[in-house]
Amino acid sequence: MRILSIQGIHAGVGASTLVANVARMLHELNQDILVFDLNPNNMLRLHFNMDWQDGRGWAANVCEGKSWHEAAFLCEQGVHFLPFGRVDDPKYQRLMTDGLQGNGLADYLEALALPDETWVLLNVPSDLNVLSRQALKLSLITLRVLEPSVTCLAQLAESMQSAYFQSDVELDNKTLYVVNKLMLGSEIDQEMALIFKHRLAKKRLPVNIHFDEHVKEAFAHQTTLNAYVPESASAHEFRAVAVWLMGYFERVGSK
Amino acid sequence: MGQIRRVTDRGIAMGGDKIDADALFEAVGIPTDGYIEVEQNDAILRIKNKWPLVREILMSCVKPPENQSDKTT
Repeated sequence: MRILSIQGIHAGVGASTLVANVARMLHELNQDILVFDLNPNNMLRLHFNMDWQDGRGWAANVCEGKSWHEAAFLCEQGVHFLPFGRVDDPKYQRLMTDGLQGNGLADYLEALALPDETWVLLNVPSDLNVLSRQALKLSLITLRVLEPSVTCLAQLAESMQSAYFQSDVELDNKTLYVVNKLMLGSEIDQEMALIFKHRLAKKRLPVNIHFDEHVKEAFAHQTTLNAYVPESASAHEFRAVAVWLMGYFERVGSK
Repeated sequence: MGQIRRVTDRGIAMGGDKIDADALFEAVGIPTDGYIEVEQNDAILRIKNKWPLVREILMSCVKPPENQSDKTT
């Protein structure tokens, strides 16, 4: 499996949007994709045309003693998707403390017995908990999403100094960064993008995702850019990220 | 650069099961010569001087030289 974690450096930077759009671009490139939502905000489902009222998901099933993998479905555009599900806070806390001990996530993925060339995109919440730690450990790449803001620079500095990596050299080595929501007309955005380019050097993807109203519009239609406006600038950039990831995995191999 | 299997993309003709990853990268506008290293230049210094918090954060991230001795002992 080609396991990839995508995680916002903090909430709201567009990590779920990136997961949904890159997943569908990879599928458009004839790749087999499973998107596994590990974020309890359960928002990723809305990119995949699930009903707002639909609270089904793997975590909801675990909490209710049902089979977790029965929550998976095939989206209209061919991406397999495992939504998190609607889980209240007490149940979520119990899931984190009791439900995912040992190799929880690894066992889940192994049980699926997916072909080697299948991509597994893990939508990882920005806060570190049992589940997100397991996801980062399993992944061949962790792609962290940044906005070109001083807030993200501060968060990045914090995580590089200790809070995130905790001297985990392997995690540091496999972590890459992508800049999202870059506004062409914003001076400070351009300057922060340059700072990230300078600071991150080879750890930054050579593709920036620019701010584009089409992204919001596609979400409002509960779909992704390749379906809504396939020729938009952002669609081109998400496609470029997908192609870059294919090239990267080709070079480093699959797990 | 390795080969990418079973790849198709808009407007790119596929020849057999494999294509050259370089061709695919170029088709979507990604430089194929890897990353561009950016040196500490005037633009970076100007940005640091313009935004005090940026300067403060970047200064706190500077790693000490490897041969720096511990002066507390």
